[in-house]
Amino acid sequence: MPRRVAIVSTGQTKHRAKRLDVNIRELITEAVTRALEDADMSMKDIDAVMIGNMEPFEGFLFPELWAVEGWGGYLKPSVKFNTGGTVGTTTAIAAYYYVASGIYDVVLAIGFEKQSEGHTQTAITTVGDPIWERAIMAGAVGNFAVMASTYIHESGVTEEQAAKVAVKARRNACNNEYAHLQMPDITVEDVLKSRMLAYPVKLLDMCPQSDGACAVIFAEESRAKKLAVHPAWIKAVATAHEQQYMGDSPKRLAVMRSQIAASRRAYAYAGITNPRKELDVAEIYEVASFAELAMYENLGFCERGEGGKLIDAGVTEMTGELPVNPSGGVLSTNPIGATALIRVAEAALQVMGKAGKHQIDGVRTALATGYGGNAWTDVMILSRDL
Amino acid sequence: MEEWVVHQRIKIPFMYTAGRALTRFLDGLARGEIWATRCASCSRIYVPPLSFCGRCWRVIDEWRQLPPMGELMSYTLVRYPLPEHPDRSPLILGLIQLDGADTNLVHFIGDVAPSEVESVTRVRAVWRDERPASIFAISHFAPIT
Repeated sequence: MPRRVAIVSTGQTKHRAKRLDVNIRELITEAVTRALEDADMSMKDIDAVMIGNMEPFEGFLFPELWAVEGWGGYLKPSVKFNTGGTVGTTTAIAAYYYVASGIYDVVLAIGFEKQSEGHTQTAITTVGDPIWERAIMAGAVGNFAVMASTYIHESGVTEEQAAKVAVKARRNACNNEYAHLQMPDITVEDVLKSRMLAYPVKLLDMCPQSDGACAVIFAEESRAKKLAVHPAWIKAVATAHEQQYMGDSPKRLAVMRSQIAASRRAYAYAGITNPRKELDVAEIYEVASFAELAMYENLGFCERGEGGKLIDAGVTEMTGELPVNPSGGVLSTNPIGATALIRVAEAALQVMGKAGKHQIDGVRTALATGYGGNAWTDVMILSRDL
Repeated sequence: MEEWVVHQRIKIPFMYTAGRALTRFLDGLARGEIWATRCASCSRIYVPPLSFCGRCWRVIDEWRQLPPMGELMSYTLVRYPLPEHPDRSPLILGLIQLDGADTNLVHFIGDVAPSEVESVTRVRAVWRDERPASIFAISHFAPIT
């Protein structure tokens, strides 16, 4: 039996397009310092550090090595993770495994990215299969455009419904002091009229590129109870990978096989049979507005083809039955190596009752997901109850 | 059948933010000064400077200027220079501990023949007339005789 594990504290930087005032090392220190202070801990209390990042964006191998002074890695057990968009959740899940297994009692998980330093879309291009697909279609926007186009075809979802997701995210972000894109006055019209990147994806349908870091501290049961008033207990974790080629999964958004596999595995482990009823909040990795609608369907929040209706009915708004991304989500903040860890941190904040102005009342169970690589999914379920 | 290999070239522009401590360090170099930071907890003097001591896990905010001279701790001879290196080979690469510092700087050792460098103990910075805000504000370190 794995040991019980909880998140006891979190820390984030103020995420921005460019943080020219700090280097990578100093950026990470900001997030780690906040996480330690949040639980009144010092670096001596940390047994091991898991650190995640997508180094092609920074332009040198092992940026965490260069930055070690700033994240507490000096002479400590540590492991580096690099799994694309999922890197933050992979790092969190690894931290969970280390504590659950009994190897370490307190583990710090860190995700960071300074996207202003490199050229994100060119780096993402190297994700594509070099022999066949890279030369035709590469980068995040093109991939999502094809996926969104297929999804529109399959489900009848509209560009207006996707635009509502983009509006919800940027408005929610206004209540999150750390969020990058805060747009209180954004309208559906603004999204629809924004620059077309690749049909049907427009500029405001896509996530930004951010500089930022996030730190989350995991502890075993006895330490967790001492370190936090209301620890966020981890009820389930799951990961699932997809096949490589776009053509292997032609309905990649409409039917997200990795998201279905990982979420159903996690729900079963956590004893969840009706996620829409039993989850109180979800922090999901929605890289594009269309993706969030598809994720509603694939995570089982609604029936297939009903994603658009869910946003129309306001179910996933702050005041809805199942608020999705009260933090503003990836559409508002996206330092890639940190992004999925921010989902975990935000889900934990909701469970702990520490989300401030974007707190949802009475959260007992929260879902966090990571998404990336070639349609990989990570899932974590957190609970107020041990 | 012929074995196919696909050749590609990907060009990615990068920039690197110097950050709080190194910005001040680079400004100093452009003025012909070497600045270090000192951790108030472990007293370690870092050059290049750090704004945060990873050993003690605390912010460093004490600055001190170091003399542009120190001890040659070790060296090697580079016979195949990189494109970034000055056009003179063999190059002597030295590990230099500036007076008062607890860490070492890596730089070129010049004004000495490779065959004579073994006997060098003390070196000083030779500044360029036009100093960029980079390590190349210092041309090389030369033996103090």
